[in-house]
Amino acid sequence: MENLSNRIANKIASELKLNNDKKEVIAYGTFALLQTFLSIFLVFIIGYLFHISTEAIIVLFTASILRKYSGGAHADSPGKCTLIGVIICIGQATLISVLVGNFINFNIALILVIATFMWAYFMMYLLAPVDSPSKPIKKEEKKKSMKKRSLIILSVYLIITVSIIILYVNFEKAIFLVYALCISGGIAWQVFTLSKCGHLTLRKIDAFLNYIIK
Amino acid sequence: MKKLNTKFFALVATITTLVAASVSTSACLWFTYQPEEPKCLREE
Repeated sequence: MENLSNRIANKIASELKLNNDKKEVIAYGTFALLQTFLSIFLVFIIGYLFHISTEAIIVLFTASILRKYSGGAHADSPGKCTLIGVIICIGQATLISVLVGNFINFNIALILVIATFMWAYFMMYLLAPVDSPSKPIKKEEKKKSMKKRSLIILSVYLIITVSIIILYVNFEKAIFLVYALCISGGIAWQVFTLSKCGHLTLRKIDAFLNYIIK
Repeated sequence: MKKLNTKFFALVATITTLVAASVSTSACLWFTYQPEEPKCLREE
């Protein structure tokens, strides 16, 4: 995907006679667009096959939007990143859809949601933002601003989740519990990638995927 | 045709530059992969 972005940027730069800096920025922006659209497309299509496209998209957007300001552990290639993203989103959405109604009732769901938010606030306050060697965050002001934004996004998620739970209490439709748990699942995965254990897990998954590819 | 092509490339260049600028203000691109950020977008 990086090759495709570079080829598109080369073509645009040569047609518009742009310098190398501008070409790099276009390649970076193109890569961001392709990566984002590809992951949304794959999660939607695979989710559609399993009849859980809405749930999977909720997990994807919840984790990804929070990740923009809190950072976290990374895969070493875009292909592995997309694969891990698809597995996490589809896996969580499937698990939640199957468990709600069979093993998870309202009380258990409420405990899971409260526990997830408490853990997330604690971890965000303690660790966010977690930068990477490819995109280091050096300025202290920027770190503070990112932490603040992460906590604001988490609070917006809390308001949305409480609203969904109120809808469940009023209408007693299990799908509302599923949506609330999907938001919690996305948050839990993102918070996990901030931790040392999350970094270690992603490294292990990377190594495992490298082993399979070879 | 050539003029239309140039306009199209200019539009794509504008959109991708805006996306790159918006990504540069965040901690991470989208999911679990972060490519090398262009030097001119890095804060020093």
